[in-house]
Amino acid sequence: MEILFYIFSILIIYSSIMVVASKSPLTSALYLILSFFVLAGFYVILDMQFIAAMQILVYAGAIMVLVVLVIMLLNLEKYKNIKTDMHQKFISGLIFMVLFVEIALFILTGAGRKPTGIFTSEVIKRVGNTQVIGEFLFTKYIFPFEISSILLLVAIIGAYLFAKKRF
Amino acid sequence: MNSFLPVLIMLIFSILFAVLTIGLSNIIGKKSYEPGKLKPFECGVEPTGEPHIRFDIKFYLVAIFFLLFDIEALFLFPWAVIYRWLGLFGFIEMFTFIVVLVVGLLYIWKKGGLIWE
Repeated sequence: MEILFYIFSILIIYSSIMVVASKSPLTSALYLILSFFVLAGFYVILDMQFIAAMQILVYAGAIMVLVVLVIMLLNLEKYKNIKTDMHQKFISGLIFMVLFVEIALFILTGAGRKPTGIFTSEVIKRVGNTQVIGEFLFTKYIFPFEISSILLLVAIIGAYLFAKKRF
Repeated sequence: MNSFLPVLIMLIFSILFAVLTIGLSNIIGKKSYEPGKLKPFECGVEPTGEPHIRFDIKFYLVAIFFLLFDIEALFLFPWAVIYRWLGLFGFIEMFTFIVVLVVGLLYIWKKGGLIWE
């Protein structure tokens, strides 16, 4: 288990650096898919099978299809020789610092914390992560679940209307 | 976690397969580098225009519909594993969820959003 964690960590760091470092946008999109897959591997290690499936189906599958399509829809040949200036580097460095401090604080203060209440890690491990999610989603949070279907309906109609106006 | 061991074994084998096939053909295969090899070939005619063509918006529309119905299908997983426990209530619940999305499907169907002309 330990060795898997280290392999996944090396892979995700490598692929994330390559997302930023590679010149071609399509190459960085492929590296982003790799990092999403590795993230799913982390979820499996943490006994979150449903979230791992979600990660692969929605992120590595559907969202990345959209990203790759956007790259193909835009003609990026024109923008190949654009230089990045210090302004962008400064902002990205600032965001990096904030995120780093946030993660460091989390590790220092609350990393040892476990889920409280009736659903402790042991219970979740015994019953199953997917079952626990289902139990909550279809009893306690039934109203948000049904509302999400309306949200998806609005998204379907909206996507159709936006794209149809072009032709 | 143990039930994911086959997935891990399959992952290792697929990585090995990819690395072996590409690596072996790299080692065994003949290598020749010449400038003519990198030129675009268009039946002997000088290539015209840019190689990067813009894709139709229809591909994007299909991708968005795939994404939305993908999310719908995802909700079926936690529903299916506790279906017996939920009983009739769960059936009605999922039925309403699906019906609302079928309305959306019928809308784009009737409007001709799925026609590929």
